[in-house]
Amino acid sequence: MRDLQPSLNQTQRVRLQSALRQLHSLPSSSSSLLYSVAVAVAVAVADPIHVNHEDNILKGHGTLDCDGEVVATLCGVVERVNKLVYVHALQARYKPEVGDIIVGRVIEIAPKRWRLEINFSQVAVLMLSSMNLPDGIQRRRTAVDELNMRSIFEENDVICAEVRGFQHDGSLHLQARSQKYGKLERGQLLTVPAYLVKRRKKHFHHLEQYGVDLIIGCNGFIWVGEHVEAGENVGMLVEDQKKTSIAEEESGSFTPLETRKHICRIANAVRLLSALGFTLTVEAIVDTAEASLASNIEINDMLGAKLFVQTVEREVQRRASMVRKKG
Amino acid sequence: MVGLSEGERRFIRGGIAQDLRSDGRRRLQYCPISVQTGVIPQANGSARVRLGATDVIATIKAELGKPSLLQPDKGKVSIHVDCSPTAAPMFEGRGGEELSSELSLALERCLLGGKSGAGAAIDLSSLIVLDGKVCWDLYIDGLVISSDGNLLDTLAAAIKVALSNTGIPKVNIVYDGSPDDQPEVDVSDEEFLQFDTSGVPVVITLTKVGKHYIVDATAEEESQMSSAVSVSVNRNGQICGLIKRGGTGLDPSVILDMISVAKHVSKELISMLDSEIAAAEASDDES
Repeated sequence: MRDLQPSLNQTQRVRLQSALRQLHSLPSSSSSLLYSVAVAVAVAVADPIHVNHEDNILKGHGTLDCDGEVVATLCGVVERVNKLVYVHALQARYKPEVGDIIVGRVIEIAPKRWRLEINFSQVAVLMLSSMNLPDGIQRRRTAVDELNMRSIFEENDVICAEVRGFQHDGSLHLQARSQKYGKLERGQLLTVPAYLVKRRKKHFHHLEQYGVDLIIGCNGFIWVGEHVEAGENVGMLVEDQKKTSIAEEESGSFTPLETRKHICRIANAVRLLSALGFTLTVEAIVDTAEASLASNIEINDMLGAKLFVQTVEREVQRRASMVRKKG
Repeated sequence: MVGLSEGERRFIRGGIAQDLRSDGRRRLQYCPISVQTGVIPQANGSARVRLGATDVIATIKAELGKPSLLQPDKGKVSIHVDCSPTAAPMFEGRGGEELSSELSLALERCLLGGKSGAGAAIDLSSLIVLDGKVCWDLYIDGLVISSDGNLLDTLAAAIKVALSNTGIPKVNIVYDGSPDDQPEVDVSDEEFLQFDTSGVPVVITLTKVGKHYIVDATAEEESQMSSAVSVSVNRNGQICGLIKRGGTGLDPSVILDMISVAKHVSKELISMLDSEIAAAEASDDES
């Protein structure tokens, strides 16, 4: 549990301790249920790993051959696949793969490309040719297009894109050709540890009952915002967008209050789940938001003690029912 | 601090206009406060205050010294703030010095009163041991561990709590020689003099974004501010200090309105801090 440490009273502390103890005893993921014969071995740095030295064991990531013994160099769980032994780190940095949906922030505009910060060790690159032009025509990018890059994306803009591939030096190449990718406005960006986001089939979620768009980036950047139809703002250049936004502000028409309440509730649910260290899935986030509505907890109280303990207890029940279904 | 896109900035401004900020708080609502006392045992008094994601530690150290010639019947207090590089990358090396000196000056204005010592949070005459010869020098240090906006309020609250936790040892004069010599003193290990912190003011910072004021701004909201007024209010509702930051000019009626809003909010903050101090003292007595 990071950052969030709500002040718990005595009963809440007791409930939390018992719920955490139950969570530790229950198996956490379905995969470990399948391989329930092999118990997950947790190792810390410099712990020895038991291997049968006669087999030609391949020493994978996170291991080191030290005086004939195989020793772990990471804190994590030992995984064995045929002859390969490696340590799977539990709290690792974001590890990108081709096809990942990413939410990033533009930090620099360079010749014919934008550089984005994506919570990775290196900066990701979005080439001008990997981006649809405002007028939508497929054509060769000219020097005028290059000069007008700032009219498409500016510095500090939040962008949704997909990983296209890796360069030879390990940095990422992104592409944003489809209608669903592009600039994200009217919402807030949240940062969570990247290992809490697992790869799924869908990362774009339109929560209809709330009218909220939820984009769970694989790099740990989560966007919660007002729902925007795909392709609505694609044709608009930045200056036109700025003019409409200033007109909107003066007339006082911001995001409607109801939608804003839902956005804040979902955002607080994400903050709570990331503070507890639970995997972020749409179901978990929506469940937490609905539970807070059902318990009549105010939006700003969502990060308080009551919902904190309630969420842990609900997770215990969920995992217990999963174990019962499988077993 | 990472930059914010135009869309995010508009979202924040819209939230403040509609009285629903990004984390669900209202405009005049504080983040949850968490207070710990006695975190630094070597100091005479210490406290750690967390206001949302902002985390500061305040320590009070008392040393025997000579009172100044102009005010021989008063002790001395000095406040110094240090922004640790763990709080933000820009504080590395000498980057945090400007902010540190600004915060130290603001706290001195709010808590120490005028040149004669009148109106100070701490009664300086209570720090004197022997007129003209020996007095207590109080060194108040603030350390910013994590910075997410609203540093001034958090530091002032931490100093108030640390003062409640401070114990100054009782001093017995052993031998008072001729007027020029320094007398010998015996510092007692057991008896302590506690401060009464009910008179110590708190600082309320009101950040103006657009047409509205917010209390306890996060770093993102502070980046959108046009100006900010920090008002130091004590328990009787009296103004002990006033600081305005930010480049935008303010109409005098706006400043008067902000002062009255700050007085209104201060009652809640003072009662919250007092209850936390009482809870911390109770747990200290138990242990």
